[in-house]
Amino acid sequence: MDPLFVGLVALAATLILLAIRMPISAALGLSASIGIFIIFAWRPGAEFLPQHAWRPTLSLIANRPYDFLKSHSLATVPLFILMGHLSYQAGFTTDIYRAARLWLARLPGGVAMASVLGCGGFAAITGSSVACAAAMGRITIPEMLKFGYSKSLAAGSVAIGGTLGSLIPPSILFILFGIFAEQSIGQLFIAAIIPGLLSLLAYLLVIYLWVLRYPDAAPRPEETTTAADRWGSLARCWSIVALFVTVIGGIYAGLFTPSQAAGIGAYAALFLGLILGRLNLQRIAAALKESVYQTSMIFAIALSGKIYVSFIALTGVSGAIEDWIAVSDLSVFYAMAVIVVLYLVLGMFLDPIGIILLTLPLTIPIVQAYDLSLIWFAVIVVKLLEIGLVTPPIGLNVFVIKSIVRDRIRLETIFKGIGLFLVAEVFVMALLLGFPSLSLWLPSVMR
Amino acid sequence: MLYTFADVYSRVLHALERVALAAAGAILLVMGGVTTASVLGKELFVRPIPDDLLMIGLLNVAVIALPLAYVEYNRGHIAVTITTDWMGVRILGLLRAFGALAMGIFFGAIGYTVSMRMPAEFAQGAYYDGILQIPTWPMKAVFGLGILLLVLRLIASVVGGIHTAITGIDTPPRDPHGADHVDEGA
Repeated sequence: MDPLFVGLVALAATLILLAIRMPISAALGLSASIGIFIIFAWRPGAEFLPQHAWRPTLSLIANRPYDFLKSHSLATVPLFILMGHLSYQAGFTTDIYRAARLWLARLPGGVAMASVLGCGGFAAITGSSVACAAAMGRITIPEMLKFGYSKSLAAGSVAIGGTLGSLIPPSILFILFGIFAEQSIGQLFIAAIIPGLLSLLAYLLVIYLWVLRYPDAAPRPEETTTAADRWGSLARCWSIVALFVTVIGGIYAGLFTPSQAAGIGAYAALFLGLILGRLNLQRIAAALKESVYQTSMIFAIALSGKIYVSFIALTGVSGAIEDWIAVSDLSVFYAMAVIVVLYLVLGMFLDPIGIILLTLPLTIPIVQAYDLSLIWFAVIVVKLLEIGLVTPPIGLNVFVIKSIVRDRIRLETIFKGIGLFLVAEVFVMALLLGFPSLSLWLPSVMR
Repeated sequence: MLYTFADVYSRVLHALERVALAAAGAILLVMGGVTTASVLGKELFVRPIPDDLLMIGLLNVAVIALPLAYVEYNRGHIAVTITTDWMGVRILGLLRAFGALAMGIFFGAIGYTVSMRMPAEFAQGAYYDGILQIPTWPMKAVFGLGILLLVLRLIASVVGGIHTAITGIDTPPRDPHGADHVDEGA
């Protein structure tokens, strides 16, 4: 049987299994394992000989997952997750919001702006968008509602701000992209800094214009703050700034590898939390529990993804895609348009990690065929996945916000609040697609 | 009698899952410590910890494998739910049983093949690595243990899913994860 045909059938089977609620790890792993077995058992032009397939299939299943997990570069993920949870438990992640809240309170939409800046600060320490939206949403939305902010602005700004979690480094999605696409995780982190800041500025601009057009959407808080309060809140941000500079600065300067930076970051957060009296044994235990839980959840999928990637390689689909591109004479513009639409559509239904593992074996050959940078492509993919987090019908971040606000804000109101921000996302996306140097300049000058 | 067995099975398994989770947390802390100590040793004394990367890789296996069963207990393994949310409790129970069965077959095959190869690999002396000749077999055994716990939990999930399909009663986990925390994915 033609391996390419087996690949296509397995892909269709994977999508069906995903649609019937099968865990992503099982859907990817099972369809890939069966596909590998069929490829070995039913070689092109030969009879079906299952006895020839057991040995290579079992060998792949036995060796790939374990060898994959014992790679030291994977340790980057749990250690960065730990850094994020320790910082969260110590309260470092909300310091930037509290400072921005006091400094920007008098600006139109100041509290919403502070929420987005707070999300940016949270993102600089954690690598998860959903975590960012959930943590910031719990604090900022009740405050905005208390000050009389419109529900759509309050919920929409935090849902969209949460997407910075995976864009601003460190980011779990970039680490997984780096591992599966064999790209430098350090370069990916650095490449995402300018796009992350650009997105943040775009969100701030949307809030400013929104409140300029509808001043009632964000009444100015009737509270007085002293200069001492403001400076005091700013001073408390030193810990999060120190962590970010140590981790990302260390990677940029070539002092640490990403996995070393993750370890240093986790221990720096632990050390700072202890000496500042913001961490105790209970909080450390909670951070460790959450970290290993989340790590295991991610790697159950990644482990299956590794077998899936091996299967796709066996099908020869990469070569077929390259041949098809050569024959079809498809322009790079259309190819990227197809990829953008693919990720936007998948982002509406699938989890970002599942999408990365499902699609990279298919999209990387396209990107390479056009001699495009994979670092730039990673930024585009993560940005598209982030947009998927706030678009219906799934929009994970929106559901997280909904679970926080419960009956106080309707789901439609949250999606309505995101609408204007999505217009800004289109502009940012167009800039990132049109000007790859926005992503590639910083990595080109790093050590 | 059957219910008593099921209850004891579930309680013992959950106790083991919690121990495995706690062990994974402690190992993660050690992994961060080894990384930090090695970097500091290299920068301050020009002496990194020998075989640090090998140690970190081995510890990483435990951090990932040990909590797998606990995640399954909390129904935490990520699945696409939007396509089936409209279905009734009984059908969802059936789908949960099917998903757990598929996951059990896949991870069971991994665990089985890994454990079957261990004696031969041990005989070949393939279980020591690096300058320090660190024994690597304990982590492979831990990996097998993590998978075994997961498969045992998946068996319970299959039974639970079928029970829901028959009775229409869904019993969510008793200590739902994330009640006071926020992270549910990337």
